[in-house]
Amino acid sequence: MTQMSGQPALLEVKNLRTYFRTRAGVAKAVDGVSFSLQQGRTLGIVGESGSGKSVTMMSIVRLIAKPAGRIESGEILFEGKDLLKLTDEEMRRIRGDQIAVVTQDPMTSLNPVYSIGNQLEEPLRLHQGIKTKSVLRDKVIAGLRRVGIPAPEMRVRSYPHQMSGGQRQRVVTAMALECHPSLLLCDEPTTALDVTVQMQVLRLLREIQREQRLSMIIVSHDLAVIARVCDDVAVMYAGRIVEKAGLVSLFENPSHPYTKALMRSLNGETDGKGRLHAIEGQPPDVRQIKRGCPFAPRCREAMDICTSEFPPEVVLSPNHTTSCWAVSAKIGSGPR
Amino acid sequence: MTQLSLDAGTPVSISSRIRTLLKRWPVGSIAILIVLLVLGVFAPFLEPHNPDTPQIMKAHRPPVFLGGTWDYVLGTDDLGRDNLSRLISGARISLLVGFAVVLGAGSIGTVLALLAGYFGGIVDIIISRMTEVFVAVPFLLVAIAVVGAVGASTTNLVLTLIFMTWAGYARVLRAEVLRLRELEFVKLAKVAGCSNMRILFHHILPNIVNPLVILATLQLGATIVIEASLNFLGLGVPAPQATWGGMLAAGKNYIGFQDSLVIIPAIAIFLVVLSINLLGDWLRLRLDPRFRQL
Repeated sequence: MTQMSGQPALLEVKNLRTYFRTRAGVAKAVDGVSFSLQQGRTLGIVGESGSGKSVTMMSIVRLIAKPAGRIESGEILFEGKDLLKLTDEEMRRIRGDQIAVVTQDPMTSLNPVYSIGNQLEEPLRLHQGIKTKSVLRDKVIAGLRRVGIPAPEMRVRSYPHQMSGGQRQRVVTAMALECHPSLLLCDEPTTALDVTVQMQVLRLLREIQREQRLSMIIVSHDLAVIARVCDDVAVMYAGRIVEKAGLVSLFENPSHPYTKALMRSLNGETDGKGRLHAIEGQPPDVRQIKRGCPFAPRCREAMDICTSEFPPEVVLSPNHTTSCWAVSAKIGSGPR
Repeated sequence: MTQLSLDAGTPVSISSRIRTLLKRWPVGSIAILIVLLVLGVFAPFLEPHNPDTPQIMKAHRPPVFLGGTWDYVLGTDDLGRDNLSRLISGARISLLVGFAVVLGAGSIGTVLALLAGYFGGIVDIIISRMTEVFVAVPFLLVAIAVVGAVGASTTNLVLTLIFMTWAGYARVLRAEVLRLRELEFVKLAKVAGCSNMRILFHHILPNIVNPLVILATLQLGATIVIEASLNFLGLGVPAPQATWGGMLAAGKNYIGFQDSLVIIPAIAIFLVVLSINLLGDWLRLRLDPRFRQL
């Protein structure tokens, strides 16, 4: 996202569109998303349910439910290669090796019929071709120790149902990190956990990310989670990124009306009658988005042009862009 | 040092232990099925007489409890063949056919269910429509037609039964695969770089073993009943090989004169099928998470 000096981005997503064909019409789940991610940085993607954040993530590893879903256009450059142009076989070699994923639900993310040791060996066998039982065991135990599972020598023989949600999430994290990926994608990594455990898992992710100079993308609907681990934030609404900024810049100076509304509802401010701020209306149905800015119907600052044309990206600072007609009007580059 | 003795002072009487055992395990079913298995496996050694050799002079002897002799415990049939030997010989056929059919139909149904549930799309449409067709076909009519066309033999009986029963497995297991497919461990297996075949057979298949075992057990009972029906109609295993259905068919001419010829094989079929079904229900209670008491 930050177009900073020289260093090429590890991941660059350009104008990504992922559509789902349903009986009720085409759902434009991701509709022209672009961002880039430097080595060793963490990008948070926030948005409501259905804003396309998870689909963006799954598009990067090309795991979109076929045949309904399809990546229509765009480029996903990972270390300079366009992932969308790779064959399935080449993609399979990258997944789990250079790009790993941590999923949302620790209850279903481990196979109930295998011990966790057994499951953790799988990526090592598949990607590193290690066959020796004792080597595999040692690596698995080291991996579990790194994510803070107590007594890993014993735990490798446990089955998923014998572990708590937080521990399972650690196991899933260990599995993701086994092959030393350069990019880690976390889809709502803490949503299914209770608050105290959330903190632990976030701290763990942060530590590992720093230690290994890992690049991470964290998708969440929870701004608090984003604030705790991310360097940069992208706010998604109805399949588009409406604002991108460095963490501090976004929180101190939110510019898009949707971001501002999110912040208001986060801060626990009340509206005089003692009620929390909510954003009026509902997010749009992504199957029926009309022209213009998708947030316009709920926006307090909407103008005429908002309903007819999607706003171009306005650069507020080198590290902060937004797509809003009202903002561009304010800073003078106004509607052309 | 204190000693932990949780059940001190509550001596468990033998009768209450037996009662718990009876409640937990289907002891009756298991006992009957073990007897059946032993009879089936060791049939040639256990038969007191040759089950297929007629001895007209000894025809229509009553069972021992109706005034017969211990030489022919369950009496003899219209051709003088020993009923007990024929019952044992028939047990072997029922088991053989039952297991062969369950194995064959279960494997076909499971593989098709995996493919349909996992790949979806056109594969699913083809397999599901085929399944629905096979579930809707009137079974006995097709069996009669098939045997009429290709002739009655044990192999044909088994193949017909496999042909007609795989759909039951495919339908139930496909639903299970559909559910499993959406779980995140499958997604993570994809992320980890597993091939589709590996996901299907290494990750999903072990997770449908429980419903498969339950289904197969219940199907075994149903298969034995159908096999008996076809043999009763003369569409199964050819004579002189003894089968329970064939014994029923031959005995029906002597109802009122020698009822035991019908009643004995009928009881055998009834007890075996009941035991298998009770075992199947018990397995379902044990293995199906929806029935599991937490």
